[in-house]
Amino acid sequence: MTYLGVISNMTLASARTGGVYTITACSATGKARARLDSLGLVVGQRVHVMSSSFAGLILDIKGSRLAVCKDVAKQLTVMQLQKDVAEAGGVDA
Amino acid sequence: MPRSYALIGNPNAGKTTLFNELTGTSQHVGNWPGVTVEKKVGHLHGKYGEAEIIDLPGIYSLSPHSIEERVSRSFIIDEKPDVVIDIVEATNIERNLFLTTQIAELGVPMVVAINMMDEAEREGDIIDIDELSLQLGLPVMPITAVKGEGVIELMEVVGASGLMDLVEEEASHLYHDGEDEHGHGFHDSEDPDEHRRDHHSDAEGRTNALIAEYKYHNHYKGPMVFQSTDGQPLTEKQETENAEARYAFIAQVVSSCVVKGHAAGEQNSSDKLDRVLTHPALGIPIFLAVMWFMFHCTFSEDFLWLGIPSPGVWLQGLMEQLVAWVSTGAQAVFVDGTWAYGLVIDGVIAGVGAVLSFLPQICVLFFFLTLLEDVGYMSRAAFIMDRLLRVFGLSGKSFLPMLMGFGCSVPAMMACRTMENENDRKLTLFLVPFMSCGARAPIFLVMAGAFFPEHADWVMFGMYFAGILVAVLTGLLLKKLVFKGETTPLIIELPKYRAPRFKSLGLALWKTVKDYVSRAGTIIFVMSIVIWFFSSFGMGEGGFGMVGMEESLLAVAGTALAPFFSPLGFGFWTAAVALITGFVAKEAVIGTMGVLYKVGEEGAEGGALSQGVLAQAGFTPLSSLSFMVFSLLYLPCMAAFATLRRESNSWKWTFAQAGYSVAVAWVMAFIVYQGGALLGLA
Repeated sequence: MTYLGVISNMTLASARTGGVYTITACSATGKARARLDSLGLVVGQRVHVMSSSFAGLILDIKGSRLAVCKDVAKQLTVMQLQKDVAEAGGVDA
Repeated sequence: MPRSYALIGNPNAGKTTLFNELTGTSQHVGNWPGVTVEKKVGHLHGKYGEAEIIDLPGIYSLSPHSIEERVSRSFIIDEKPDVVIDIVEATNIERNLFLTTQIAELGVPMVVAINMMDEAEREGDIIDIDELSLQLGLPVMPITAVKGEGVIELMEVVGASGLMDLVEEEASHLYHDGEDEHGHGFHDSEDPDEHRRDHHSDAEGRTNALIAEYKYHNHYKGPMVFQSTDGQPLTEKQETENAEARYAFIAQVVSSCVVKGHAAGEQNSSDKLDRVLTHPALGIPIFLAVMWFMFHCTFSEDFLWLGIPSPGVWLQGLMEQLVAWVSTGAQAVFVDGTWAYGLVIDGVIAGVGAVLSFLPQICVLFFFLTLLEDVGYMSRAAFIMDRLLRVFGLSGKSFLPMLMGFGCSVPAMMACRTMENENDRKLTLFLVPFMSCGARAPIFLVMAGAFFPEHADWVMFGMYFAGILVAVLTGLLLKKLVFKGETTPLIIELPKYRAPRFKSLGLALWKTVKDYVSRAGTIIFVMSIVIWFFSSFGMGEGGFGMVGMEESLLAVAGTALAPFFSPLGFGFWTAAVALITGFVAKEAVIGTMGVLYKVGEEGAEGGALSQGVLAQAGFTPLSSLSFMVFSLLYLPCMAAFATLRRESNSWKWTFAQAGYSVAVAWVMAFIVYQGGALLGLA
């Protein structure tokens, strides 16, 4: 799948339910970074947002569901994959 | 030396299920030295061979950033188990393999067990086990631990005499394709370090077989990574490079061995359930309703408005009858009035019995908690409560133990075990005793009823609120002073919802009972005897001997302690003695007052402690308030004290909590009494 366009440079905290994003940068360091690494939240990883609200986000990462609070989401810069492609789904590697 | 196997894997990968399947009930639970991380050791069921098996904590990686990870890593490196069994969740292979690569990089002989194959099949996932084995360079076995499927075959491979010898024989095809690239088990004549340098490291000092001592290391074909060998931690850049190299390798392996039945981001049945259960508005009310039902089943006298007691209350009644029956039986054996009678009946049976009478309710609470954990709801609860608790420096996982603290501190502290972060757990253990438990309620009921009959409900509410307030402020204080900069943002895996498994529920329950009873039989047994001795012996008319409580050593101690309570408005020995006996069980505060103020033959009937009786003893409305505040906050009872010691695995932490709570109780009661006096209340 090719990236059809960067809509904006944003953090995961402002992602919306149903959106598909790719992590482009991570500002966490040390222990927090290691934890993100071990759960698969690494640069280049594609993230499906299953739900996003003021309470936090539920993500689909490599097939597992991760709940993260907004503080974590703010550390991850993402770019959105174009909407219709994401919604078509099923094109994942 | 028996062989030793280590079991390792991600949380929720089914590690406990496999461990139970392999060992049955022959497990020993303790702590890893110096930390509160649980260590489970067991012996294999005969049919699975002869070996000791160590269950390592559920972790996502081996990078030494959390205590659980450090414990696991140093166990493998220092203790060198004969084989490491790595459990990988079939429906979640890609994420789970991250840990697999980290274990393999150590060079340890290992077998990968792909668990929950049945679930993967149901999801429509296709996993090419042979190809996976080939690509990883590690033996891979498919299992379904819940049903025991594939476990015999797995253990045959694990137990094969010289697992890596077996691999060596098959070198030509299955596991050993990359021989030239990555070497193999070295020969007797070879120097292990040299072999590692020549075959398992690159120019930049990276390796994929860290431990040279293994004669037959694994044949892992993953990338070489930086390892800290001289105790120096890796730099951030090295760690990131390592993670990227591992994920790149995993992505490549998975793409050629696994076909997913569902597209990424597609909603499965768990997601649909989560749309309701983790809904931003509905989630919290639903959680509270679930909690209410749990407490209702445990503590309610009127179950579902049917006029019958709840299971918890009913079972507790049975237990009390049992204790009474034992007590009556013992009374027939001993002669009333002798010290032996007092020791056994008033000391041991009364003390241990009081603590044991909590057991049924603890079991009921634990049944529900284990059930909720088992079906996968607990991690959702932590997620929905997280935002609220974060304001107070706590994590979402603290909520449940704190709430349970309103029932009883003992199961509440035991529930802290589900918290994976050691600091969060220690913090929560520290705070739980400030939540006003059920045993403290009678003190407030009696005192408020006597002095504030019009506003008793408000006084009660105020006490509960004061407990919460102290817990919150203490939490903030500890975060500032002790756990500096240790804010652990929430990242939690939401496992798929599953039907409960009654076998594991039963085992968990049995473990709880065993823990609790063994504690009642040891520390509480001794403490009961000590307290009984001090309350029954003293300088009587005929010298030292058995006396009434008024002349006992306890009364002497009470008199000595009384001045300490003077600034709080209740500086008389009876109040001090009541508080001391409250350490045995908080219910005893009112019971002791009944005995000392000689109300009725039963003495313990709280209702008889009227305003007149209490006023005669020296209480005023204001000092009764400060007494209530003090009772709310001072020392946890001895059962809670013993539990805190056990769960924190630290005497220091236990005494810190006890010392701090006495200090806070004194200061708060002082503020109430002196502040009230300044405002002209009396």
